[in-house]
Amino acid sequence: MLMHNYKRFGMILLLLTPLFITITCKKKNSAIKIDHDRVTQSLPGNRVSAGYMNITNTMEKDDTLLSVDTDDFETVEFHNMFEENGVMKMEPMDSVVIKGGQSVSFTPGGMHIMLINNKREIKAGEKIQLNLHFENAGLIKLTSPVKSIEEQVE
Amino acid sequence: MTKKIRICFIGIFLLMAAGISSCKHEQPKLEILDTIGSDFTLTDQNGKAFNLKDVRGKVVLMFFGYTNCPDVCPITLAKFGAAYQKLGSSADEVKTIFVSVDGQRDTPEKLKKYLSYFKYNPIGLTGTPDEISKVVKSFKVLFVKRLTGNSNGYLFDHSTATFLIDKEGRVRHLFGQTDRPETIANVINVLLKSN
Repeated sequence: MLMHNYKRFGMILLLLTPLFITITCKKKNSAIKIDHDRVTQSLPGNRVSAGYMNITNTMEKDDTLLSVDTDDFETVEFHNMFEENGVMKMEPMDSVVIKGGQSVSFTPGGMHIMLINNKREIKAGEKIQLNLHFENAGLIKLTSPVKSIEEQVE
Repeated sequence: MTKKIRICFIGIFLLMAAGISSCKHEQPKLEILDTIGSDFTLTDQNGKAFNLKDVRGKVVLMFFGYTNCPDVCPITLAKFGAAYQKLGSSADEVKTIFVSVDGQRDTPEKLKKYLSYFKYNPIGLTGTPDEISKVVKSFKVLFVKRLTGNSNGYLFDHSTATFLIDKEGRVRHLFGQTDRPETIANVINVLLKSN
């Protein structure tokens, strides 16, 4: 009887495997594609870093990046940078819309993700996990490399 | 026929002249920008009084920023590091000054720690809001404090120009945010040769 139950459980597991694979691979098949993601190292005595990446929305429908969180920083914000009459202005943004079929880039000297008050020193060569929350695509977890400041000079 | 050859020659001459003038255009003029800047005194990262006169005899790269700035400020300082490498032995004749506009948070100790990361030994300057404000005005730099409402407190809208100051303490050129390390090194070399 017990043996029979084990067999049944095994069969159920076997049948559920494709579903499990589909769920775990969902990130790769997501409508949102992310590349060139990286976070800058922290500098001595300083607790801020910047996050950069390209986000592409492969769907026709617009999507919105609502927020980013990580265990390594207290606060994460989106900042838009633009130059006006030789003055660099920084404007916090509540969310970032990625139009259908288009890409948005967070780049050095441009729009960036500001990571505020680190909970530990963030060293170049490490990796940190970022949780990106999209309105439609839901949660996308990224494991992004930490790069030195020098590597951001283009 | 002779007329055609003459027209041809005139055409070639004009093209050459245009070529020469466009080549000339690539070289920065490095005029003395005497309406910008003057000597000033602030406090360096060792807590000592620093006057711009203290670096007479050196070419100076001067940049205004603050240590809590996550993007433009550290990248600009790293860019200077790359420019120093391109300068080779001439790098000894160049000094970098990072003027903090955030005297409230950027104490000499904080500046010292922050700037220790950069191998080319930049000078970090800070002061009281009044002292900083005088320097900012003299260099026609614009800084606007902006409250953020988060735990970081505030940020600044700020000018991103870097001032190139000659060995006599005169502003000779302004670099923008998009200028690459190669450009910075080239312009410094032009200034060093003209001295």
